[in-house]
Amino acid sequence: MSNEILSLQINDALFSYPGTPSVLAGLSLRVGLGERVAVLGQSGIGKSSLLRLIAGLEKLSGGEIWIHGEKVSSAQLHVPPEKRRVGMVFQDWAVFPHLTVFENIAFGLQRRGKDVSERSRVGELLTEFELQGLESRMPSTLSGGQLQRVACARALAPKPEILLLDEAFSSLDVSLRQRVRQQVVGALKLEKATSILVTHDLDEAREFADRVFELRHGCLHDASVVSAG
Amino acid sequence: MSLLAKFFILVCVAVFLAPLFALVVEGSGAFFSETLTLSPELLSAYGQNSLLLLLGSVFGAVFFGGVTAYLCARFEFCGRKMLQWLAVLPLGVPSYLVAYTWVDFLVDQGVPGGSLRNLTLTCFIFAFSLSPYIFLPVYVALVSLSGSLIESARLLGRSRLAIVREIEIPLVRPSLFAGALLAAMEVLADFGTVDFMAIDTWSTGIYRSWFGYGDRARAALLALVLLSFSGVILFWEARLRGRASLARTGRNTSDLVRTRMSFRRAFPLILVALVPVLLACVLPLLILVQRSLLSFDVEQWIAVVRPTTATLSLALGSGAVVVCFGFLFAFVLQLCAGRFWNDMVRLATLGYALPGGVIGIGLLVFLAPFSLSGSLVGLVFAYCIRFVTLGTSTIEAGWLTVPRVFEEQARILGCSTLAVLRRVSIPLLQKSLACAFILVCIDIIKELPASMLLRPFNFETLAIRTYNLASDERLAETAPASLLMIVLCVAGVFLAQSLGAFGISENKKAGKNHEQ
Repeated sequence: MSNEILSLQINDALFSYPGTPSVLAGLSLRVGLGERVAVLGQSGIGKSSLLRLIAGLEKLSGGEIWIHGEKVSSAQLHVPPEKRRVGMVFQDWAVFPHLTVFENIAFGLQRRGKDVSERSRVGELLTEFELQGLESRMPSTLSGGQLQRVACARALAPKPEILLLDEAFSSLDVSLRQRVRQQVVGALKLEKATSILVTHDLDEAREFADRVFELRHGCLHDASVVSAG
Repeated sequence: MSLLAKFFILVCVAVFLAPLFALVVEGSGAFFSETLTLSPELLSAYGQNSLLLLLGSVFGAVFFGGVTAYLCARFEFCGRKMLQWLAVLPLGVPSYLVAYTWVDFLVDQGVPGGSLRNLTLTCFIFAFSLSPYIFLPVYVALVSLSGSLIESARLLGRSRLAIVREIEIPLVRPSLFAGALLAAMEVLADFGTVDFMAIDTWSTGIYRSWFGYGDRARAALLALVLLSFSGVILFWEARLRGRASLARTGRNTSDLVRTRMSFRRAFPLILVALVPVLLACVLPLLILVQRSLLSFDVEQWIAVVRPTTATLSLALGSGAVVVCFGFLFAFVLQLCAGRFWNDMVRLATLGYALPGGVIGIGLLVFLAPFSLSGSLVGLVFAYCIRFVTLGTSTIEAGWLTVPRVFEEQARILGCSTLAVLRRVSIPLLQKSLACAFILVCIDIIKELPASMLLRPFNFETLAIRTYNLASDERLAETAPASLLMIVLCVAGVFLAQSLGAFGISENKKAGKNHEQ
């Protein structure tokens, strides 16, 4: 793996919030192109912080983060989030309430869907996520599952190098969760997108990812054994 | 709800609305009367001045309040919490006192008094005084926005300015408009400032008709027009409030992220944010203290003892009555299901949207047959109509934060409705009741138009005394009464703020900052 370009490489990442014990204590991770990784862990262990560091929403205290062969974070360097080409689906989905479904998905495209190619990109995602017919609907009129899919489609629209999913399915009820998850995995495969999901649900991690890790004491531990079982 | 309780609520609603009905009847009668004389030129001047004043003042308030709200909600810098506290203080200083002190001060510096009385300066006075009306709702809306919305926009390539334009402004717009409409209503309702600054507005027209010409029908007609305009604003504000709550219906799990900014970089913005509090609170206070010390006259201070006692007893007594009604209405909204009762309470609490002058004229017309106009009863009645909304909404907001399960548990343990109120609800609502009482008292102390119209003969509050002295251009003599009013109101604002009345107290969890 060392010679090929990786989607994501984290070397000895250190991170802590002021006045709190270390959240990440020398964490390392390598994720290949198109790979799906899940990170398991208890609440408050630092799973979301890991994603926020990758996205550039927090600054590293030490170590390095590389995205697609380019160094984006170290103790001295910090590439701002808007320049990292990373997509993120938040736990609360963060679908802009004042924009329609179409406008939400087109938000990350430079000309917001005015271009023919961009219109077709939005159309593509509407189809992939089974959102056809909902283009002009406002988020307040959508169900949880639909909102979740809009959030995923919006994050994937600009074709990010990595898609980060922060407990993205946890707010859905059990029956809906599985269906939406399968739909998202299908779309990720189609888009050949690299993705990292953090969750506290082992079954979800196992179903979503090619590789599963557990975050413990600030480091990632291979959880494949657990996931295999 | 028992039949007796329902009857009582209906009576309250009817009594609270009666003066408005009286006004509508009198005003409509005047409209069709052949003896009514209203010059179109005068009406057009009233309308034009009111509109220009409204636009200038609200635009200024939106600028200063908006900048302060954004600065405090989005950046972390040395002195932010202090600035947040200070930004609310202009609420404690009535705009007419700001006008009196500014004009007095500038005339002392050699500026001709006549040149100061103009629309532009009046707009600035209102803009500074009313900036908290914008700051409070916009700040609360900004900090209530989920941090993940902003972070999503950043991850999708938007700059900070683009996020303000495309995400934050559209999402806080309902709150901003609602605040702006309330500020607009205050401008329309004002009498003290515009009268002193010699601006002919709809409000001064009402008073001139009543006191100057003794023309009850004309005053009622003008009040009716102002009432209709307020009705439109109220309807619009209610719609916007509905939309603002819709914008917040999404799940909000992400903490507020403030960007750390050095004091030096923040300084120009802090300066803009400090302008209203310095010019509409600190400067008047300093001028008044200086005047009181330089020309200290024991007699002037003795002369304000009676107005102070009258103001305090009126504020405390009426405040208690208003809070009782507010509690009753909040109770109906909280515990009695059904749209009818909800609508009834909303009707009874229309008063906050009505200028004091309109309520005053309505009550004068309504109370005339009972020989109660010009009595303390009429005055307390007017305060109840005008301020019961403030009491109700403050108590209702507090009630919404009390988990319903406590009251349900008490019912299961055998308490009657009254026992639940006495043993559970009221103890849990102590803070909200105190906040409601303080806020109502502050507004009663500041209230001028209704007090002027309805006061008993020879009855003087601090507000009336300052107005009378200022009308006679005896500005230096207003110092003791003005100073006492400001001290009382600012102390009230501090007290209310420390009890969390304005919803801008720091959430311990929301202290996360973001280094950039």
